[in-house]
Amino acid sequence: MKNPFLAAIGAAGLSLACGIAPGEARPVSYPGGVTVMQRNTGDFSSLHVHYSPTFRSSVGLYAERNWDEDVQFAGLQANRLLKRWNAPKSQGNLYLKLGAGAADPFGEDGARRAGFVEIAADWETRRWFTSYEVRASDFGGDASVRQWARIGVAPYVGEYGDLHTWAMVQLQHAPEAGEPVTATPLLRFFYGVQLMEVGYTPQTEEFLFNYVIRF
Amino acid sequence: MKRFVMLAALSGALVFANTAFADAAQSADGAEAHDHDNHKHDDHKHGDHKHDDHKHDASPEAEGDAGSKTSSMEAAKGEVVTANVNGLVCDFCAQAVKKVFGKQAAVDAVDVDLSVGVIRVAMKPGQTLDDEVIGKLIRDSGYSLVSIERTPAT
Repeated sequence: MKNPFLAAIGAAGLSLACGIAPGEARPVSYPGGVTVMQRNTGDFSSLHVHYSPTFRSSVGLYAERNWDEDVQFAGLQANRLLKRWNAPKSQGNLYLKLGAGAADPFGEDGARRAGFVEIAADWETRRWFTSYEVRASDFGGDASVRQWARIGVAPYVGEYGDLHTWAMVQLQHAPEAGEPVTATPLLRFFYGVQLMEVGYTPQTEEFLFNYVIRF
Repeated sequence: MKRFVMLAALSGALVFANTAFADAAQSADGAEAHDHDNHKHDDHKHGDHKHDDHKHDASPEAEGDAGSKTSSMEAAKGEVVTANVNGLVCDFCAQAVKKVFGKQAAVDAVDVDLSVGVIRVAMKPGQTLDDEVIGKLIRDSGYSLVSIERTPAT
């Protein structure tokens, strides 16, 4: 999978090998906003804390312990809103996410330069949600490409400040994983400045838990 | 380690649920101050109390993290600007708008109605923001201004 990764890096105009995880809700915030994102998919656990100087960009720290690839990563992450489509009843977004740092493969000596590049897109109304993300990563020489897609529906539409509930399904395609294609049904709970997702992947018998809080 | 992380995650879930349900319980308690944005008093039950029986603390401080400088539109005495906006689909959107407008010294309160894509900005008495500034603040929040209407101060 080296070639696709290098091609992605080249397209992004990077000289340093750059890697992110799936399902990041709104990787940019309002000007001055700080967001904490914590994720556990079974394949990995990650923590991303970012600050948005404008609504178009954010920068922060990203750390990941990847159980699937037996590696841990820590570094800087930059997120960029490339395009937003605002409509009367919907919003669409296209994001670029870049990370660079060090990876420490389990059982091997020393950390190595590592990183990732990701393209993400989403479209949502107050009733429907859909998203797609593709990530190319090189965690210390272990390069891979993964992609995710989601579709969700809100069984009811609440007002601002209510507890919002979404039923979603996340499909993951990871060619090098033991289960290349998985489907994860999940529930998203959105309350005030907090967002929580709980799901289960039958193929891998792993739980998913994601939590986001925005200040 | 993996189990520990999952346990930590589930603990976080419990904290989240506790926060949500605690707030819901507080809202159900008629004696507590509650959010008066987006609804009329006649639209909901208040338990065994009258509005005159308790203080409606709708000051910015009382709203806490729901949005700085957010208070009831009913309490506003200055000009009210109503902006129709595209792209408002979730609470993060509303939070962004409230935070951005809340930083303006002329703004007394901000209310976001996601169902119709409307932002209502109550100005402090004697103060205003012109259309150009309103448009810029909405763009800076990440959304698109469609139109502006103004209700003079009372």
